Amino acid sequence: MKRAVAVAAGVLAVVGVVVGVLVSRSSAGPPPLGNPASGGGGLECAPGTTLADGFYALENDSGQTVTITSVRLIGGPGQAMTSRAYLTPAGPGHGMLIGLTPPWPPSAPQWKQRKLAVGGTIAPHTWGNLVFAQTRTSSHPKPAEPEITYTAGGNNYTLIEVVQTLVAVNCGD
Amino acid sequence: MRIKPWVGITLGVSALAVLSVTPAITAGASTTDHGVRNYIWKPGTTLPTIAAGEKLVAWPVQSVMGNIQVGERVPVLTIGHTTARGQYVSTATRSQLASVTDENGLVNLEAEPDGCGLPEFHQNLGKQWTVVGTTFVLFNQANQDFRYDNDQSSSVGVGYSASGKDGSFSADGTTSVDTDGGEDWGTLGEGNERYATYFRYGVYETICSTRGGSGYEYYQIKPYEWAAGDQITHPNAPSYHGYNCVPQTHNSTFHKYTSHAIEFSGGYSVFGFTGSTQTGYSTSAEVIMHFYARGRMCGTNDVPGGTDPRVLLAIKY
Repeated sequence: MKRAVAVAAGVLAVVGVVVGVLVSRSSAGPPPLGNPASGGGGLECAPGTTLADGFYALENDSGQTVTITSVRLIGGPGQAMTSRAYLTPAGPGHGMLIGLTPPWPPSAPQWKQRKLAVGGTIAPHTWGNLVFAQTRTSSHPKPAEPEITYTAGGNNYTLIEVVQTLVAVNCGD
Repeated sequence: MRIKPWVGITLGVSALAVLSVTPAITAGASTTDHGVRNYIWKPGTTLPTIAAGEKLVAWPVQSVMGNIQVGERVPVLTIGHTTARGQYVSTATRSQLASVTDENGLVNLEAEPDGCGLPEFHQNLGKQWTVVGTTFVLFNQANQDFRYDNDQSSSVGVGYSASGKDGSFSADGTTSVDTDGGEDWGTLGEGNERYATYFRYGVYETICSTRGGSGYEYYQIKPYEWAAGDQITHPNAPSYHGYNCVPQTHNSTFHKYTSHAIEFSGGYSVFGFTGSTQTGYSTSAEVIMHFYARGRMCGTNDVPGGTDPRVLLAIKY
């Protein structure tokens, strides 16, 4: 099964009279962007060298605004994130996701409405399509997955997607 | 009053321990004439709620169930009961609990009245086709493959009847069956595909006594083992929303390992009873879709890469 961690761990530093105490604060309920570990893994593979990776929908199911603090590609030797990460509109009324597909930059109409993912926000009960350039850097690459850190309601969260993406020479079974 | 036993992880710690209790609402199974209910339980999670005067029994794992002959008793393990004063008493040791836990870490539990004896394998209903998955390719430039790998678990609906007569059974919770082999329905092109495999089913009779000395019995239809085999039928395609779709490029492939799957309300039919089925308690059921031309892949409930896409469809771009 694919790796997955979605941890809510808000950290509140409290300096006492005698010693400093580090307090970990967890929010009640599920993480605002969900827990993909509960859904099983998978692999999306497309042939090429540099593709737009817009396969992931970040769905804010909470009543709090989500602010993205970092995005990086993990795992996957032979796979690299070769652009900054962006958010484009997604969800009801916004057509399909951009997907793992050429060209880079994307030709999809919603690309014109992109904003930088880091520092960007996802309003309560709305979606963002995470989009970045994914480049194959070897002839035998391994699948990779994005790790997204974000804040909501004063808590910090880390989301690691469990469906991986792979830019390959060929996508066989 | 219904009583909620404390979390199940405590069960393995000591036998005959009287645990604290908290009122709770029963969930997960309908209640029959005599309060018999079936559950799939994962040790370490909260146990189902049982009332005063009821007990929880664990049914044996598939390797034991498959060797029981008609007329023989099923060696269910009583793991705890609730006293008349509302206290839950755990009666299973850690090793006993391990003996009724399948390879996916699941236990098939039944809540029943205290006065009931061991079930008897009353009637063998034999092999029945049981639906475990579905996929759809709605254009001629993609193919699809559904695989059901070793140790995959399926949740199967249990039938309950007070009389045991053909056609008298109604739904009463679920039980799990796991595989000790794999099944691959093959690579298929355009089409609406629903995948079934054989499970063997039986009718189990349980005889109970009341404090007044009178007795009664009840009957249950349950699967007792996976029997392999593959069958494909062709249902109508479901609806989907465009925002749950992603484009698929030429020669791209998507694999999905399902830990959530659609529940099939008509998963199997036997002895006048139609039971539900659901695949996905473990992640060894796999859907593979390959696109020979540009297309779209959609989930009926979520995007394909999301937590719970349910049914996957490959469609024209």
